[in-house]
Amino acid sequence: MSKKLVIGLIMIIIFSAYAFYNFQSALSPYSTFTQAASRDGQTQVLAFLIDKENIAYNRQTGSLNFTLQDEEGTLAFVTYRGAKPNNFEHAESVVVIGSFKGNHFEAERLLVKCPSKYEEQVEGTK
Amino acid sequence: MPGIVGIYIAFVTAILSGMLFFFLAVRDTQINSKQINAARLLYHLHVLSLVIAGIYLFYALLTHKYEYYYVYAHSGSELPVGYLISAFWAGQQGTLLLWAILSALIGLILVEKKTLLPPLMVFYLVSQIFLSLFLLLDSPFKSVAPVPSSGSGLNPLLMDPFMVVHPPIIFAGYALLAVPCCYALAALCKKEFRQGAMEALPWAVTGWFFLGAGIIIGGAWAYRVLGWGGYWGWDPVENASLVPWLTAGITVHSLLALRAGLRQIRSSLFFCIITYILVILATVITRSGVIAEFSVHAFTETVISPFLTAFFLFYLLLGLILFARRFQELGHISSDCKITQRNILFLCLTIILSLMALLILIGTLSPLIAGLTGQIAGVNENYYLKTGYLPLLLFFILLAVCSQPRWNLKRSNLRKTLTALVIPIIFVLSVLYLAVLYGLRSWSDLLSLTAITAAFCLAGIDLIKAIKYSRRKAGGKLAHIGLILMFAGILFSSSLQESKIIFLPKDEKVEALDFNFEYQGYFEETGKGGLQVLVENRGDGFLATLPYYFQGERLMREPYIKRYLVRDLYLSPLELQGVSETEQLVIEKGGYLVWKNYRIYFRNLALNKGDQSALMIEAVVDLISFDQVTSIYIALRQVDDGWEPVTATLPGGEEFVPLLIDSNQGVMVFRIEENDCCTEQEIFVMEVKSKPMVGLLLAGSILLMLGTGLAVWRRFTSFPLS
Repeated sequence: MSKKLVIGLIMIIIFSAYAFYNFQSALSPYSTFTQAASRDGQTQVLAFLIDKENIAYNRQTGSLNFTLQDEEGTLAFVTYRGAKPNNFEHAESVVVIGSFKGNHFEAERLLVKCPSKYEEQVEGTK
Repeated sequence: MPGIVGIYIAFVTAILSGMLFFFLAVRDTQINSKQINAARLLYHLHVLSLVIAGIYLFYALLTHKYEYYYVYAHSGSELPVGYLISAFWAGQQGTLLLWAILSALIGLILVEKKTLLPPLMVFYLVSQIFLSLFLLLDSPFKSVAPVPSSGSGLNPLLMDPFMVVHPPIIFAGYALLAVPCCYALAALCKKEFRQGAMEALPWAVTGWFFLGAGIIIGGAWAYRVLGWGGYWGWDPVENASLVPWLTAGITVHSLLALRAGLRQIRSSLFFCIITYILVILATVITRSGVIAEFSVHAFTETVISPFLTAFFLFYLLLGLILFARRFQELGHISSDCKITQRNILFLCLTIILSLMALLILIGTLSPLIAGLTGQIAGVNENYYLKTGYLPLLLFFILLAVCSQPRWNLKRSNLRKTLTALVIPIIFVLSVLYLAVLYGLRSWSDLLSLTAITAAFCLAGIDLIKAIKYSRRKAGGKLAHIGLILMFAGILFSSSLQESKIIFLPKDEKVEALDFNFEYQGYFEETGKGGLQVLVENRGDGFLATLPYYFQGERLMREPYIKRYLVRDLYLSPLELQGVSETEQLVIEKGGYLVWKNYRIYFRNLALNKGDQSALMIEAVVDLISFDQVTSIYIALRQVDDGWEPVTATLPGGEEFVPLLIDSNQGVMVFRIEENDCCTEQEIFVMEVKSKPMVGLLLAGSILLMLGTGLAVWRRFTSFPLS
């Protein structure tokens, strides 16, 4: 019985370490644009779409350009290389996951929050 | 009226029937048939009243009774009948009613059983009481005043045959998985462990089948309709149904092992119970708003949230207490059996699948876990891909190993065992060679490919043997092959995917990923309008219409998928640009930009109080064209509802329009409008994706479901209690 217990404990420890390590490295904190600018690595920012008439793909770079304003009121120009999520223009708020590259925020992932309560919604992944 | 009355009666009869069964269970004497019949009658009343409420909701939807908020919010007068019916489960209250009805109907079979009847029905009715309570508190029959003249319609993204069947199938799975849990709880109460477990088996298999089918259909819908080219987004809502599917898999395998005489009684009963607890947890996660901030499915907290948590805690605590009290006793049963190779394999399966379930659960609840340490954070999908890799690799190794009924590793038989492996090894090596030739380079992908092909080959040989000698066992083996093919499809389609965003000026050919595309304009089909693109590939051509239409004020876009034998061509419409509406340009302070004949320098900016004390953000820009330097002043003036541009005219007559000037970061976004835009041209922006081997994923999913379906059919047709 004790032998079993030891094996079980070792397995639990290994598993916990494995889970904890991966959990820590994949955890991206929610922050504001100001915090994201001063931080290396990935962050996610919940922000609101402004200037909705000017959301467009740039023909030279092939990326989607738009402007976001976070809850503190900071503006950020965001680029996203990938498909625009369905309903993007009508989103209440969006979550961008990425980091600042120079003067713009480069989003690796784009999540759309929709105003409706119970609807299967849309997501954009690279 | 009939709707809400039905729900009230259902709630009361569930309580009464539950109390009567409880009384019978506690007394534990000879079952008095009169009292049992009374309890049964009450249960039948419960089912009847729920069914009436359900029929009434259908009736209200079909006859457009907009006095009910639910009907108003989820349907419209112009909706075809099929989608009017599916509007039943388009919202939270409707899906709960659907769940309650399905599980009530399943209970009709249980209530006629002899084994463990009173305690079984007590545990089953607790779930019914909770479900009816939710419907009472948050009813689909809430009325609105004044009565709207028309409904707000169904979200067009949900108008898809896959989305019509997805919720009922998922909820059938949820409802079915309650049965093994209640059998296990009753068995623990009455100490009739083995019998309870055996009664649970067919229900567990069926519930597992429905839940799996529902998940696959949901993924197929996302791929067909949403247009981001994927089928799984690691969203909390998706994860919440995957976790009980994994544990239901453990349940089914444990029960099968138990039936074959292996020592799996503890894990069988434990996973029967935990699976339903996880089903309830899935509902808590998706309906109570605990992680609403972190999901793309924006669920809000409702009045039922605290009761949902109570529902979850009831089964969790009851299950844990009962299991702990009988733990020793269960051990005595197991110790009668010998430990064999099979036993170890089943133990490995339990460990690997629980690991996966636990890792996904940790990821899903990561905002809560991070919240405990005071952080506001959540894990991204890389967490799942990274942590999932190792358990998945082990899982495929296990699938390969378990294809042999017994590995004879004694020295005298080693030669024979190894010769049986010659064909698989050759197969694996040749697949690896082809994969490297095709462009697969990453070590982790090659390693998983090795495991998958080995599993495929061994499981394939096993399946052929099963078809030849014991056809009754073929269902499970077919499911294994299906699962392996599915993952092979996932591996190929994600690691060898190519994608490109292309700009298609009207009537011009553009080449991308071996295809030629030509945008031909807007095309109105019945209902949904779309953009037509001529697609050519080595002389072969076809017209693709990509749905692109307005629903009210919302622009809806759907992908077009062309399925080839080895790959899917996935075309996703992004936007339609008019060239007259020129593109945005971004410039930094001190930086320069070339636009047509101009070199544009952003010299300086200033924040000023302008006339009438309105705030002005001014910018100075130098332009060099034809060796002439001109300075222009542009500004944004603050007005009541934002900022108004103060434009400037360039030497060539174009208008320089500032859109945004950020004085903190020194960045300006602007647009230059040409005055002679007589050549107005449309440009269609589209994403082209080539996804190899999606067909493999599709075929795998079908085989998996077919195999599980066969197993279900077998459980219900031949039912020997060995």
